[in-house]
Amino acid sequence: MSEMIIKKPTKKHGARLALKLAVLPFLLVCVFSPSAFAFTFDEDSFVSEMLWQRARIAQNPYRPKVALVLGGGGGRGFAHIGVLKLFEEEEIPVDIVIGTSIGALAGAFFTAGVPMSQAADLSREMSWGQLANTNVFSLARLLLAGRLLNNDRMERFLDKHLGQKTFDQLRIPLICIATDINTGERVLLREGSVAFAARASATVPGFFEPVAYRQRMLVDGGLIENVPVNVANIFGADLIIAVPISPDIPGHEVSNVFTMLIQSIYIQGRAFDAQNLSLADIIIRPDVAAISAVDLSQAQQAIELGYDAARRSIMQIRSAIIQKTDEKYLFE
Amino acid sequence: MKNIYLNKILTLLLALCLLSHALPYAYAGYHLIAKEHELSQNIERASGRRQLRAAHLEIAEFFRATGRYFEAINAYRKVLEFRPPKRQRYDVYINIGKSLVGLRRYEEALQYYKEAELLYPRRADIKLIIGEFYLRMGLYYLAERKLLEALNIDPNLRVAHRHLGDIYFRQSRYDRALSHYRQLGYPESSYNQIIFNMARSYRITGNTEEALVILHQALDGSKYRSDILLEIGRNHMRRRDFDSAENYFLKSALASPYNAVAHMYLALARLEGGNPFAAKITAARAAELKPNLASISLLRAMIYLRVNNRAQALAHARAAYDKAKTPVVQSASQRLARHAENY
Repeated sequence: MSEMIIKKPTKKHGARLALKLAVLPFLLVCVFSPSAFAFTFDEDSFVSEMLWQRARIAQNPYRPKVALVLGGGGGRGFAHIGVLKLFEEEEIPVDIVIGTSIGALAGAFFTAGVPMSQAADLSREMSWGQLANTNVFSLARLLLAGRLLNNDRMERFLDKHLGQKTFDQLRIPLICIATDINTGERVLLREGSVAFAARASATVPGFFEPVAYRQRMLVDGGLIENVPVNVANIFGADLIIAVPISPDIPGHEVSNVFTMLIQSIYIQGRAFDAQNLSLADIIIRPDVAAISAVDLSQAQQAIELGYDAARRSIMQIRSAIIQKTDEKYLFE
Repeated sequence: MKNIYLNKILTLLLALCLLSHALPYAYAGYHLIAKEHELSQNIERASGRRQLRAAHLEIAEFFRATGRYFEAINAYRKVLEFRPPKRQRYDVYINIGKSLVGLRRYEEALQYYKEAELLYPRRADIKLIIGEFYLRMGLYYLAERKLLEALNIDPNLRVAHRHLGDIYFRQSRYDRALSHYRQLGYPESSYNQIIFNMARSYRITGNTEEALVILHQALDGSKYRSDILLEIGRNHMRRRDFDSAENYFLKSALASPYNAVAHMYLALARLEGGNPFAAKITAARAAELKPNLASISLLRAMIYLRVNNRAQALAHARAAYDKAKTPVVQSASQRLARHAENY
């Protein structure tokens, strides 16, 4: 009887212990199993997103006046299309575009409302023959008789794809920078035909005939202001975003009169650019130094480099716009 | 009496369970020893260069498959002594490389991979292996180059597209990431990370429609339902469709009730959608779940400003500043606090 009453703790204890030990592996599996939550939360992104929601649709005077300055550089300038494509995607508000040479061409497409994907497609198929009379006969005349090429075709090309727009029809104001070859003055083109103005801004002196405009003879604005940040200041921009497309001066081979002339222009241009760029708030630098100014075949590569450079700067641009947006609009 | 027998039965059942788990391993262990013995005997019985080479190769494969990398490398090196043909040498170099990776001797592994590449410089698979090696080492630039070389040879190499997509996504080059992810077609719902990366890339590049298509396809039967719903909501936020955003954030929060982030986004959608009082309640819930997150305090400060309670707005803005870990959040909290104080 007493044996039956006496409890046998060892077997029960053994069973409980075995049960606990059996449960332990399951608990370990639960603790160490990978989380079912594949989304990673970044606080900076959340706060930026939260404030950007407001800032990107703000209108003046609540948000800063943003000026986009597109520098000259020939074939390297396709990078501007990459930059503008990103601006389109990110809905970065732009209040004025100022462009020199290829910058004026790219700016014309952007301000006319042509989708940048369409501009990119056009760029990939572009050749010098579409922009000027570069047949053998004309080139021979240039070299032997000093008869400059005509770039009427450039204007026709632009008119066709811009829909023959005038400056007052643009959705965003545009200024094209040209140089008066007779007086050496900077000329700001912001009325009349956009195609004409962009063409004048991109008329390379020494290759193309200057373009007659009122009492002036206009050539490429890069002679006097390749990255026209000064102009953005004149028009009262609160935030200036500059896109220089500088050549690779040390990497540029100087082997004949022609390349020496080009190198001299590059070196002089760099000095002017450095002064101007110090006035910009944000500089987007596409890594296009290795692309030649006369080579139009690397358009795709230049576009991608421009896009990547803009993507790297996007947080800085958003922050700058948010910082300068009125607090009452931003927070309430 | 009954209890004693019950305890005995339970103990027996537990013992059987444990034994049934252990038995396969015990059997497998015995089987491996027997297999190794058999392969060693093959080497002893082999005559002639070709047979010896085949026997060493077989044992090397066995060692590598069972994780015995050191022995595998020795066996593979023995194979090389018997001057295998080019194709076999190629495989041996790669397998030595993989074994060295198993031993974490990465420099040496890379040397063997490069030897293999020199044998067949126009094969895509070795370039893919080297690319994956660089990827594993975190050398993304080198990995990118090698994977592009592989794709140059075989443009349909899906794995290479996947890896390049991941690399470019990590570098915030969303356009390029998408161009590679698109080569995979619409990923199955099991490829969750690809789905998220693609959807996020589409959203960031402004193509919210495409992002939504992928996310909706992935939604059915996915165990990451809450995340996918959250991402769908973010796409609607991007389009400024706050009602739809709120709907999806709510579903995400219901699918994962302890997920503070879903509640935060829900509060934000409600605030932007013009319902600050509902936003206030939701933000409070998010704060309960994650009390140390500065961005929640910042959000609450904005909500209180909207309902004109400046004292609370200031308190939450200051709390956000105290908790902030990054300059972005600090700066935003400071500005908000200043605005709440002075305006």
